[in-house]
Amino acid sequence: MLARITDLFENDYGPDGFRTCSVTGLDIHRSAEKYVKLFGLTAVIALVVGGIFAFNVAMTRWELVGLLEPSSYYTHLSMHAWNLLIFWMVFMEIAILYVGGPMILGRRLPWTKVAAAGWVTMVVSAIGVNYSIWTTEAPNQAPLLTAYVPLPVSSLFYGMAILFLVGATIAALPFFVTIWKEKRGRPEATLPLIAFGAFVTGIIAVEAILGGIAAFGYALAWRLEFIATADAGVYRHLYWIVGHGTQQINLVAMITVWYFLTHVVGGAVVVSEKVSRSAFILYLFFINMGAAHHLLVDPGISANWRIWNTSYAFYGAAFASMIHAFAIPAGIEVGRRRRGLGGGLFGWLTSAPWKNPIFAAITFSVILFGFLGGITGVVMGQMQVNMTWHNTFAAVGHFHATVALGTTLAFMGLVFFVVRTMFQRQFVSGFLAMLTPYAYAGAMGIATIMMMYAGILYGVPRRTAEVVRNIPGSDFSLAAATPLFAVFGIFAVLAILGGVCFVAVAVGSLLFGDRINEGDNDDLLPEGGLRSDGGKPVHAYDMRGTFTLCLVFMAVFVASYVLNWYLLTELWAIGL
Amino acid sequence: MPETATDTDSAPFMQRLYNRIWLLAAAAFVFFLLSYVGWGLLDILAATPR
Repeated sequence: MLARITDLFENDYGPDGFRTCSVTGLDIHRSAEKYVKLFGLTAVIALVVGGIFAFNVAMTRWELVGLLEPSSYYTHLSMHAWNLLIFWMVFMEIAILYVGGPMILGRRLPWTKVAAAGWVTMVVSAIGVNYSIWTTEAPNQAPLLTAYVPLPVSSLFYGMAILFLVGATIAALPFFVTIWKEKRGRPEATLPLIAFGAFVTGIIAVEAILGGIAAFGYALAWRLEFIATADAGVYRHLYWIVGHGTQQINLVAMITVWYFLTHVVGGAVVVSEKVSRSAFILYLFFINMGAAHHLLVDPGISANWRIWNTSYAFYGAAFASMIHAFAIPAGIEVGRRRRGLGGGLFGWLTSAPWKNPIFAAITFSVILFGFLGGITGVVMGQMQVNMTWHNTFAAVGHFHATVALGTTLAFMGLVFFVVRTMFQRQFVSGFLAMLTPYAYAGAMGIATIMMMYAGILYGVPRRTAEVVRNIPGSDFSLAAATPLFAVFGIFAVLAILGGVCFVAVAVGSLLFGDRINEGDNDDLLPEGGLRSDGGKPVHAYDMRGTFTLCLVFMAVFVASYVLNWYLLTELWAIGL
Repeated sequence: MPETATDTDSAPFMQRLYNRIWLLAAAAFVFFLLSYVGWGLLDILAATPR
């Protein structure tokens, strides 16, 4: 078994350490590939740990089951949050940086010892965070994701959280060195779009990490009594730079993966480099302002700051998302039409490789992120409408739509792609692999919608073990939300089973899958190969199918926005 | 998805601007520092208990 595992990190490289990928055509160096595999595998382990706690948390919120006592609920919720929102995501994102930098640019991974040191630091600190949460004892409390001061959270937790952020920074350094060398070597050259997207991801990550180190460092100084008090408002302000910023890293990394994989497995083209890069630059300037929506009901911050950061400025990022929401499907449409696969309005879509789990995962990621995660994010970022969402279960629904649906599906697709093209293994079960994105996306989509309904329609709060059947010290009843929680509970279990299916296929393929031989990966490529030139420039092809889809999206967006304003007018009738 | 960077002699202004990635990163960082971090902290620290 050990030989099998070490064999996973080997491929047939030339004397110079490079090999040419039979699917992407990229020249990949051993050093970059080894670390992409290492960080990707570690991310999947974090996904497994977080997924186990997802079951415990979901079965507690479904009060018919009521798995955990309120006294232990926060510990399990904290484990769930840190392993899935942080560790699963960030380990994957480092892997994506190494794909977007050295692999796309055909370079070695520089500073491999630094990459190794980053990985070790991240693993040790992730274990440390888990340990500090799991061993929480009174008077300390489990931190949840936020670890708000003056909540008595252990100093070990803050220390380990800071160490993890430092580790992620160390691990990202080889990527930045790659970009630096590329630009130094050819200062007037344009980076490929994927490398450009990865770079924007990296810079957004730097902002988020600095905010996190400032917030956790401030709290740690208070816990260690270097300072007498910690201002809750200052902490929250700094904390959300990383708390929400990490999720913006997810978003930009996810969109970079969208461009990469829709091209490789769906035959997509970039319909306009200028437009897509402009959208990435809008993200660079505005996406991290989304953090402000967590502070919309906080005292001490002016209305001007809130409105500027969540509306006027942040809409720059919303606009960017809508550009990508057009550019990605338009790229697929043009790419497939130029292959002669675009009959009628949606022929390019109906003829797409829906049995390819990588394509299906990416496409569901695009659709569900946009319709569920994106729209709700913009709605929540509006100061008045936010009042019906803030700190309700609907907010949990929103970030499950973005992270658990959008980003996780995209990363699942990427892991499947890495299994086939870098680990060079056949899926242990082609049928299970094909089923995974459908099962997970469908079940998690419904579970997410139920969270939103429970929060918006009944005001069910987040972060509480018992609310529907028991609100201590109050006659107020949320019992009317019980049916929603029944649906939520059932589909949460099904979504977790979808996650189990994903892990079984990914890990099972590595351990028991047949080695890929010459030509075995041809099924991943779009019809006509990776480069199919229809003889006409991109703008000469129809994009009316995408335009129609965008009109549908806009209609849903407007309807959701209007509906949320209506619900705000009905505020005092909620739950009656 | 080009595999190598493209040279841009006589590229349009916007493309040359977008190629200056470190400048863009620095500008975005300063903007965030002023618009979100600085302004927000000023608001909080200026708030006085009544």
